[in-house]
Amino acid sequence: MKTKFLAFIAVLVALCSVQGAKAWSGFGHGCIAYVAEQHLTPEAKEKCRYYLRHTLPYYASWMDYWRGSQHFKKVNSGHTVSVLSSGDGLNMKYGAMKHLVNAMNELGDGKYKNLPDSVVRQRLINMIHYVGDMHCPCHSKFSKKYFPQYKGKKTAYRGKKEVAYHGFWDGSPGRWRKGWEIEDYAKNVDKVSKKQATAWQSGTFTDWGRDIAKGGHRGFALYPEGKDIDNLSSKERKAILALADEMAMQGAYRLAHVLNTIFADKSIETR
Amino acid sequence: MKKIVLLCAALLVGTLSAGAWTRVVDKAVLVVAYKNLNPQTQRILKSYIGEDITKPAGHLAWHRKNGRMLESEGWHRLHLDSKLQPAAKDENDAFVQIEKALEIVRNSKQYKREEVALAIQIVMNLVTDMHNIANVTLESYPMSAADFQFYTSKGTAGGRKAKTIQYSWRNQWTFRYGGFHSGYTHDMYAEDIDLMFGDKKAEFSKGSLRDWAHDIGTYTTAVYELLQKNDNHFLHATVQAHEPLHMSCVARAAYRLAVLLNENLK
Repeated sequence: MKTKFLAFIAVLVALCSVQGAKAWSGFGHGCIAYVAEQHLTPEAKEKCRYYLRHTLPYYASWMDYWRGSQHFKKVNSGHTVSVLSSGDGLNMKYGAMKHLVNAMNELGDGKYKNLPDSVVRQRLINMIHYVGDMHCPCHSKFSKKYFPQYKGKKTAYRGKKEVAYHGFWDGSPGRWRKGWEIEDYAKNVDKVSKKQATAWQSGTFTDWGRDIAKGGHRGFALYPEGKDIDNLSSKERKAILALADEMAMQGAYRLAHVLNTIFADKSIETR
Repeated sequence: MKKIVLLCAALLVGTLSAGAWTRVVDKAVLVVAYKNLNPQTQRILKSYIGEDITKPAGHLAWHRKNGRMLESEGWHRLHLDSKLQPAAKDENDAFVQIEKALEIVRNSKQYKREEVALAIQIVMNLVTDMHNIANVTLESYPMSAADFQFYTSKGTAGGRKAKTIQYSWRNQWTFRYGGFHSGYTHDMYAEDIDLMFGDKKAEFSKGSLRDWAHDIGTYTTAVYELLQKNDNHFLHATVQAHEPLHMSCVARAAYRLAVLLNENLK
């Protein structure tokens, strides 16, 4: 009886966790793609729909769901970025940033028109995911050699359960926001001024990399080491959500900018 | 102990859908169907079920939860013979119950309003249900009569054989694909259904309820053939690649529901 009961509980917990999972790789990615879609030019939106036959949020987590398949082994590094040893920018030849630069070289300046639809479609699907991913504080990789201060951090907790650094930031957009759907997030968080949006979208990919690296540093500074995340002060919560939302919105506005640029037959410089 | 079990059961009911798919997907079917009704049918439908056209999603399960219509427990299944024709042995069958409910909808003047309203809700629930692959019982595949475990794995990763995981067939087709879109609203899901399958509306809507049952049987058979050919095992890529099929089942349900309501609700 006891075994059966425990099995019942285990199945129940597994099912509930599958349904309720909210992370940058699920809920957060959906929010970023949804907000990005709201800021597409009509032409870019039409082109995206032509290639994707779906909305942007539909493909927000596609790369995560397919990453287990051998076909996509080569883009598995495309979820993270690597911070330079100086700490003030990204290695442009690694991970998500490398894929973004390559995609812009391949699609920008009207070159997408010379590619098969299926190739453009796949590049867009990947981009929808990794432009979001690269903005997640925990997706900035810091070399242990140059950043020993980030090595061996204690975990945070939720009750007795450990909440590791990666999972902490992955889940941050939906944390403490019970019942929020993507549209709620967009309505409450997408209050970015035109001036701020322009500042985020301007510059080169290298400039964007500097902001992303800064976000990575701030992620470590705000991580509530050794604390129960359900018992943080409102000031701590506010600061954590502020960083999560700022990085998510940077991702959303930049994704929109990348797509608007591609479908305006223009390009974004790397340096 | 009893309290914990009841609490867990309540949690399960609250978290998971009681309909064909997840609650968001079930409601999206009704949203798409409603958009494809003619204005008169839209008006009549609302006069029976109210302004919230997504409310009937999972309605039969809601009734059962409240101790009513307990006889509807097995109505969600579609039974097909070896020629993929409806072959119910009793009343526990979606095709049988939809036909009965449509008879009431067609002859609404002979029935009380609440009887017609219930019949409409039965049609809305069961047309959705019969399109879920896990709800189809195929005579040619006895394993399809109830839920079973199948196996998934990532194949050979880095030269090593990846871990094989057991998974419920019912959960695969009911929850997995809807669960890919965390935070989606039913309106968002409905938009994606239309974007992907809007141009196939006429193709999906063609024919009768019997033709649709045969169509459902055809693609369900293809899935079982593939599963059997692979010794009850799907690679991770195969599982992922079936999402468009799941979406097409949802789209078929939505467009066909609209046809039935347009034809019968007058």
